[in-house]
Amino acid sequence: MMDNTSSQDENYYILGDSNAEMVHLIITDRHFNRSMGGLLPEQPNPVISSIHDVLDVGCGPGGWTLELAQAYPHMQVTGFDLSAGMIDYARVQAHASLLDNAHFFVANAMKPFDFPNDSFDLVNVRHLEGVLPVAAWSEMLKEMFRVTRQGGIIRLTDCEWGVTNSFANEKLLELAIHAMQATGMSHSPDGRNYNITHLLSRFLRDVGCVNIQERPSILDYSAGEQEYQGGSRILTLGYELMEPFLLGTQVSARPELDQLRRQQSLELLEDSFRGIIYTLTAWGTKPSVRS
Amino acid sequence: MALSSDSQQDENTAHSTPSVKIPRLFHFDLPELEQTGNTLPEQREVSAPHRILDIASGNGEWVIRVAQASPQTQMAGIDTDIELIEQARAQAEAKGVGNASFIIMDPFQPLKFAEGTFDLVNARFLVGQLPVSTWPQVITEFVRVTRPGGFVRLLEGELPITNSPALAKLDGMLSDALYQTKRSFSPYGRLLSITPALKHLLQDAGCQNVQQRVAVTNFSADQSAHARLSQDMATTYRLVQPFLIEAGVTTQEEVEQVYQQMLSELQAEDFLAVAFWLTVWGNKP
Repeated sequence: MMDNTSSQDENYYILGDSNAEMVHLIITDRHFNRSMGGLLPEQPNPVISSIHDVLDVGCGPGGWTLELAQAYPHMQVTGFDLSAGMIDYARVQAHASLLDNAHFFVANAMKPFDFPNDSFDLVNVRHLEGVLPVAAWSEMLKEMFRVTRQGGIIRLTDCEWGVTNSFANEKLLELAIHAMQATGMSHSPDGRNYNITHLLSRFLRDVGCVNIQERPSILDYSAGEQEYQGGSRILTLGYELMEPFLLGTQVSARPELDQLRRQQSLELLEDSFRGIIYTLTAWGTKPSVRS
Repeated sequence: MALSSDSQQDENTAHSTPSVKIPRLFHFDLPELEQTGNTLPEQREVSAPHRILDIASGNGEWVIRVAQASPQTQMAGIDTDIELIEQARAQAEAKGVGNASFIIMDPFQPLKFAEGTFDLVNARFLVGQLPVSTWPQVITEFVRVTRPGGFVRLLEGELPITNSPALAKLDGMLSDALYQTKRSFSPYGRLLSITPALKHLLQDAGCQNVQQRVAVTNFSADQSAHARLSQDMATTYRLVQPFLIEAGVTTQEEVEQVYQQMLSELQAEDFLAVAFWLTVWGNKP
């Protein structure tokens, strides 16, 4: 069902475009936002005050977008995503929360953006690891740069897929990375790491940004930590949803996957379970023409 | 985790005690230290500790920097390697540093210091130097020589994320070899998995208020940390080659070829690498 030549549009969500996928993304958003220490934890207050128009590329069900609109009423926040289901959900949430500064529409991040040049003070993209093919990053960055105002910020956040002491979880991670390699979704040279964080600053530099900076964060979901329940849920649900992808790419077969997923759910319950996800945010400024 | 991994590891322990000494693998903290001069960047409200012990102090680089930055602090470094100890002493003397001493002592055996001797026991990037099974007793010993109210501080990293196939390959060999010799916290050697283990190692040794700080060191070709850390990678992978061969994860011929390839990839204009590492610290009650 899945091969290297299949249309990237169809496979935009490797987990499938489903309600379960949406639940997965909503939980993930909540936990990442918290573990990162806020919505824009690296930006000083004067910078945040000067941000009025925000674009969130590939916003999913709008977790970050909605929180931003709520926290900063002076901003107009626009999110788009390929999934109509995700966008419907985000719109309903915006309406229910009486947010008239959050706007959502369906669009493909791999196509030219439907905005004039210099439209936004902040253009943000989060967690496209495993979603955006390797080949699509540089074109997307060019579009992000184009629609950013001079002096505005482009901000990228991605994570490596975690470090744990669970045998089954590590095996499942490695299978997922191999499947990503097979479908042109991973930059990994050796299949041990997902490999995205080393690229973020270089993407920004190559597209023309200046004053590029980085900020790491961790999500510690070891047993006993505050994020343990959420982190475990992200993992078990994630691999459940990813099963068709792992089978389709033939990196694994059903008996092995079933066995690993059973073992994973047991190991996640152990008091000795340890797990950390490393996330990196990189941001840079679009220079003004005169500088 | 004492799960399925143990039995799998037991079958494969032919080389569990390497005859080759494994050096400090990483120095991910040094670029930040050199740039900011801030020796304990995560300690916001602690006044400079009076007595600091540095574990496996090697050539004394960290000890000397801290000694220079805080002249009121008495620094002690311990290491088993006599040559490195002498190198450290010579450096301290050459730099006119009078508040650092270096002692030949095995940092992973009971320490020849009285209980509560130090305000801070500092251990940077020990992963690989000792078997996983001995970490708890080693950390307990660090806590013993710390005074009540003082703290133990551990720095450890995972292997870098890089676009260099040769560096990634050597990282993989190292990860496998450490797993084969029971020096990896990973259940089968995909990564080192040391960083998620630290917090609980300190808690289990009796530390309180254990906190962690994440850092990233970008040592891509266009970054200021590149010169320093690409040199460190070259040194590390030169020194660990005999260990990799002894552990059976590569051959002399292969590792030499990959090493040469790594040296050239490290210097390439498009070389990219980031390393994530943690500082984890806790108070002795």
